[in-house]
Amino acid sequence: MEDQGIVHLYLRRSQQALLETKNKYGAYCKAIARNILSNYSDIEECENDTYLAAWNTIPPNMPRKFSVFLGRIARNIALDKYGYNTAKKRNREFEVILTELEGCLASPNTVETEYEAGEIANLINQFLYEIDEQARNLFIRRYWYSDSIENISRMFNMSNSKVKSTLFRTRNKLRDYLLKEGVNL
Amino acid sequence: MKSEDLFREIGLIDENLIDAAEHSGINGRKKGISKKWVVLVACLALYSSTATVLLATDYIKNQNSEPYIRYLTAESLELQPVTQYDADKFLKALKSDNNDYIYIAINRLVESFNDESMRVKALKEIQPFMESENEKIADAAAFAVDILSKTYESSYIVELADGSKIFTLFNNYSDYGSQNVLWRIKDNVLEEYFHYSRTAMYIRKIIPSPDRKLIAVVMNSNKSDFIDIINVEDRMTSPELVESARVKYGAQKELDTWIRIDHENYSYVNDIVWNDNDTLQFEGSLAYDDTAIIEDVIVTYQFSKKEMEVNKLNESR
Repeated sequence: MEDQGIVHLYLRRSQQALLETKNKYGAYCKAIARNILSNYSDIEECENDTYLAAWNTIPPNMPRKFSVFLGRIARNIALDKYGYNTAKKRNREFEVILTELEGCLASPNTVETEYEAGEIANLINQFLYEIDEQARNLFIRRYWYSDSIENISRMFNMSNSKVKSTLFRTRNKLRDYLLKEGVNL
Repeated sequence: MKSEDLFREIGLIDENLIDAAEHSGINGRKKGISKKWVVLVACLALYSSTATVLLATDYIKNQNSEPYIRYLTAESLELQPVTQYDADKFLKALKSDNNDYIYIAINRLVESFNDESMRVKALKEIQPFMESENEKIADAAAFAVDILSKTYESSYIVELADGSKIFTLFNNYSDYGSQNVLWRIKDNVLEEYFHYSRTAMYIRKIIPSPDRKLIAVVMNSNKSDFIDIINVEDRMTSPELVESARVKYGAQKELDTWIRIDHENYSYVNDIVWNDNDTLQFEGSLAYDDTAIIEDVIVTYQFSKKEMEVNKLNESR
């Protein structure tokens, strides 16, 4: 079923919407959750919570890109669950991703400024539009989809080290870009 | 900020970017899948010689390999997200020492009209350019300020009966005319109303009907003139009148009439007037047989009845 049809089912409050979403995007939502969480029951719960959240938000929300809309929900729910988990239950792969992102943050000695939600995202958007396409896609695969380096290497037909070095350079550029824009994270 | 917070912020980036990344590198993955299919087909062929199995496998293979594209959009052809309007870029360009950049930036900043804070910012930044020694920049700045300050006093603006305003940007940027895009402000919202094709390269004039319900848009390329009548409110347009008149008159006089694929008809118009609220009249100089024959005619077109009359100019006088 096309995305438009599924969204239409949500608007009509037909429970078939949930089934169609699961059929088409179940694996996709699980993959996003699995990259952040390690416990299988958490991943399943995250998937089901995603459908529930979609049910509760459409309407009034009208997703323009249904897959991204669901992915965003799954990602947020998984991230919340990750925060609740104890250190033992945490996904080590994902911890590596967070550690990598620390490279974009200011040093601990710097005074932090508070930013509103979405404010930094706008700057990151601008930054991503400015860099070359491959670096942008690698960055999003790593830090939006939380894909492993191995997966990204296979996907883009690149060596692991090439992926790592490209990501490293992009993170550094992002840090410089944010500093230039006067953002102190 | 913690790295989790930054990760959360990354979650809010533009969905076009996420979608593009979702489909990036996918060819590699598809190749992998198709190899698996090849192995599967080979195994099936070994284990079963029945034609049914082979046909079924072939069918399944085709089902999975055929791309499904509903519309070929500019975005999909470029394999990257479309560049979005970025007012900040144009604000920065105002500080450039290149006059062309400044001129373009001033015109493009009018598009920030719907973003209240950006509108105010653009207005403030553009105002000093009204005093520019460069006449084109000063003129563009005066027009941009007129729109962004919502004064609407410029002679470039056509006010319609429903209160909406129609105008072009890059006014008279060339000797031939203005940019071939019509903009409209209705209920305090700016929209790109219509973008003409490449042939109609410039908009020379917008002439409203006496009751201001219709507009005649006079366009031109380097070699031809074109006229459309538009009912802006109902979003209805006439056929292009110069080419239509040329074809109609050619048929009347049994002239050899061809339409070029680029619509360059080497025909021109003059003295365009509204006879009443519904009828436009203009003089046309229509070309036939690769401009070997030029016919001077007078054309009237009644919009509501879609009726056109074309007569030889001297006969009609």
